[in-house]
Amino acid sequence: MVLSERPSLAKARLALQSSVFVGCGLASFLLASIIHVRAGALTEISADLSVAKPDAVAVYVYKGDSYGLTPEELRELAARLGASATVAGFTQPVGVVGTPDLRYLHYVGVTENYFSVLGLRLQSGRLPREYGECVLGAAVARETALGTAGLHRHPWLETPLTVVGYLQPATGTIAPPASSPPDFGDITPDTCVFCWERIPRVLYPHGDTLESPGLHVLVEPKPGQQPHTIVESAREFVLERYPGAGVLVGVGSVLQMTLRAVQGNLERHYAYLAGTYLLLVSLVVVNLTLYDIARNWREIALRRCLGATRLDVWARQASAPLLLSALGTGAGVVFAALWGGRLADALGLPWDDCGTAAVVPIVLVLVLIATLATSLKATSIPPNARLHGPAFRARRHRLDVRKLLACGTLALAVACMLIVTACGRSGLLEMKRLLAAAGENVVLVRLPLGADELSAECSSVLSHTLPPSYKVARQTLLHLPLEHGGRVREVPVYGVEGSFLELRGWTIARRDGKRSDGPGSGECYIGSTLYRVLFAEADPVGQQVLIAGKRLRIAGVVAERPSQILDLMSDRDSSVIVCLDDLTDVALVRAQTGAPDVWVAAPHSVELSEALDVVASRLTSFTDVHVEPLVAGIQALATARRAGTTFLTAFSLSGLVIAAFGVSACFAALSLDRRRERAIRRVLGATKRTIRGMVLRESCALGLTASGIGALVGMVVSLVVWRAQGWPDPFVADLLLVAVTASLVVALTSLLPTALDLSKENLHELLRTGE
Amino acid sequence: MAMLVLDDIRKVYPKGPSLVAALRGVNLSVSKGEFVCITGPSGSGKSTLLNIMGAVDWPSSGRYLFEGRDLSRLTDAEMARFRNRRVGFVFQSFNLLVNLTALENVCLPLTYRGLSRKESRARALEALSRVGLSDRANHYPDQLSGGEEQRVAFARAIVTEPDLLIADEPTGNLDSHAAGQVVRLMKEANARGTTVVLATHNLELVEVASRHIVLQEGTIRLDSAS
Repeated sequence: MVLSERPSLAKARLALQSSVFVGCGLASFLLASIIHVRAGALTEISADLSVAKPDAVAVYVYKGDSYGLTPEELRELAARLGASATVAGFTQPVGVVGTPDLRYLHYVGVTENYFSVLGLRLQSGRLPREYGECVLGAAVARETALGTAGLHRHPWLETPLTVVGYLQPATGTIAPPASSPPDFGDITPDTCVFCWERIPRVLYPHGDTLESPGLHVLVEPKPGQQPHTIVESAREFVLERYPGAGVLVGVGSVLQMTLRAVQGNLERHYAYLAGTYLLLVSLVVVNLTLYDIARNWREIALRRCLGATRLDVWARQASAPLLLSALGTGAGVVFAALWGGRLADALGLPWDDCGTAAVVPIVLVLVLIATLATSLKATSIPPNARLHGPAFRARRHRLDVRKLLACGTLALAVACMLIVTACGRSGLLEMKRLLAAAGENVVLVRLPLGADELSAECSSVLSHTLPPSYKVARQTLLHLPLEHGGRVREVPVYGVEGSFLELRGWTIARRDGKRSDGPGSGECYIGSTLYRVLFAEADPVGQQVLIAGKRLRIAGVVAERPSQILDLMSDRDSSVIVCLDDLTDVALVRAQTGAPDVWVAAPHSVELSEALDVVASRLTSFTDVHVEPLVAGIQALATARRAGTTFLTAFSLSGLVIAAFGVSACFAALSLDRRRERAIRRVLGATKRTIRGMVLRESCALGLTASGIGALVGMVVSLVVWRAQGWPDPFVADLLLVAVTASLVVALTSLLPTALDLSKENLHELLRTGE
Repeated sequence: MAMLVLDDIRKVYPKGPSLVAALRGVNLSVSKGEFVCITGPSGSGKSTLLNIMGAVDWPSSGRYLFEGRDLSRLTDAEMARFRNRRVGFVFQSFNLLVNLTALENVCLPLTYRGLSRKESRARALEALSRVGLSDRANHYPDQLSGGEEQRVAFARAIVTEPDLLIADEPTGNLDSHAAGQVVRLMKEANARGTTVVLATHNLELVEVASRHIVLQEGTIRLDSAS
């Protein structure tokens, strides 16, 4: 029963109810999308790889300075899981070796069960059971003629490896695209050497020794067992032994884990947005409940008079928001299930239909908490309140909680919008930088991992056969330890050769001598940021640093990248540039990267397509060489990021609309309370225009306050995000202006229904009843 | 010459699908300096008549002349200016703004008149001292008693020195002592030349008025002046 409701108030109520419904729907859609996208990613990866049985569970364990479990712990885990699962262990690939015959070899230590869990079969021989025994992946066996003898001769293995078996080719493994060389991520069963769980010790030339690393875990549930119970048991097992350890658990293959980590970024963005939505929805629910209480004050008192208990009142107040939330949540989940896939297709996101019923309780519990907490206010209304007519004396409250709510809702929406827009813009700016830095006429020759000699040959061929106007250079990037002043830090190290600095347009601010080319052997250049960190204001030229154990003399400082100048290597200011020859040994040992890329810059007068043809024509005799424009890869990344940014921005804008509903309802509820005040002011001589001005000023103040708070929060959060990503600062005046304008527009348009109602108010009726 | 003239004033309110006539052809003229007391049962149209006199409401038909000027032709802004400069209001429920102090409440009409803050405060303080509440100037309404609230409301009504003071059941929520104070203030205002129109159920107040009008079912049943 509602005692009375004016049309304007009904509008406010409708706005609130709509915002609860729509907000819950959008939040549920986002949450459901996360689940669908995650499922899609897993399905996609599973379909691509098919290297693991789909319900296998992978457990990565990080213990700070080491990782993995010992073989004994692995057996304990197997004992705990009992007959419900098959447990296997594997090390991370611990060595990658490049040789002319065998381009890349990954040594992986595995337990015997590993092969059955991954569905790998032996073509011949048996599985490794002792130290020094191994089986070869199909590609290794096929592409090399090394056999047992070849592996014996490997200088970095302390123990000769005895090949005891050969694997069948893995079915459905990811085949590197023909146009793209494999890289470190393309570890497949065919390209590995599988050793016994304690793999042969690897001796690195500069003195490091790799002992048998810890074992990560693969678990294959027996039929009828749920993977998630295995996941929980495995996590519990690990954390019992290593309480502070990081445990990355997932269903699927080992490779899925890597790809899922990448996918995780996307999910995080979704999750943050969904979280913000839920917060917005909760605020709107609080608004709705408070509004209902204000509207029904007299009715609640009357009900209490007639015998309603506090619990009755509480339940009554909570029912409407909960019902609306449930409806909205259901609609969001259904929408995600029915149409989300199409949207994901358009955005290029993985998608898989799966059950998302779990979303419903998540949203509802949050709404329930907000509703029940706010509804408590209704139970504090005494039975005699407001039953004594217009003489009821209101208490003054200078700080209205609903104003705070409106301000908070708007600020949250503005912050959300700003964060998403700023981060998206920052990412796109970075992409633009990369694209601009890529130039229009730079061609990249990419080579397989370990093919250093091939890289050198390509460079040599291109240098000798291309016209003199073409610049040819080689470059590789490693992250290596730099030791100076007793401190060791990891820095990006660019190994360069030829006219790379000139090709990239990097200038040297301080230098030793007048050379214009790159650093000579035994020399290095350091970035300006690194120079300040290491030497403060002292002159670094001529000083020495130790990089990966190799002593290098600083021959110059690379000029700082101007903020407006775009550059492919955003970390150049904190990097070290060394002669490529100085890195050759290190590169082979660390195997962090492929062979040095060959860069070719064609003259500006030459079209990119022509440059590509020219370069490719010089390399026809080389196989496994991939020629591509520098911009191509970046463009692909930029396209994906742009789509993601657009999607998230659209959602953040819809958040602003939700906030507008909430704010509108707040204004209406405030207006409800202040009708008598306005009537008094008008009786005392205020015109309608004066009143409108007063309300307008208040909403502007609220909008400005909200935009200020929102912009501040948005800026701080965005700052943290893009600093962490190493992206450029996207904050220019126009972005802040958009944020402030948007919040003002929302505040003013939210006010519109209330402002329109002002002109319809009956002055003497207001004075008589105050309602 | 009459200060205000109501000529066949009728007022009809929509109530659901039907119309309710609050005033059914009221003819009335009030001279400057009169103290008019309007009585009548609930629903007789007293408040409606006061609202029309105070330019808070418009008649459905008829003419309302204030010093010869037809108020029904004024725009909303002109009506607001008229209320601000010519009329003072006192209500049964005081109608003070709870977020403003007594002084700020009294300043309000002067603010709308465009007076400076300094001058407004000076005049408001003077009005408050006239009602004996200068020491309560910085109190909020919820810190005042009912009688004090009504005296603040009275100070707010007279601070602009209006020609017409309209009081709608000013003593309805007050005890006899507080009501006596309010009546005394109205008499003082009337003595200074302010025309007072008072609507009340309290027949004792008829004694202090110079003219008594009885309203019943939207028409004047008794006018002591006629």
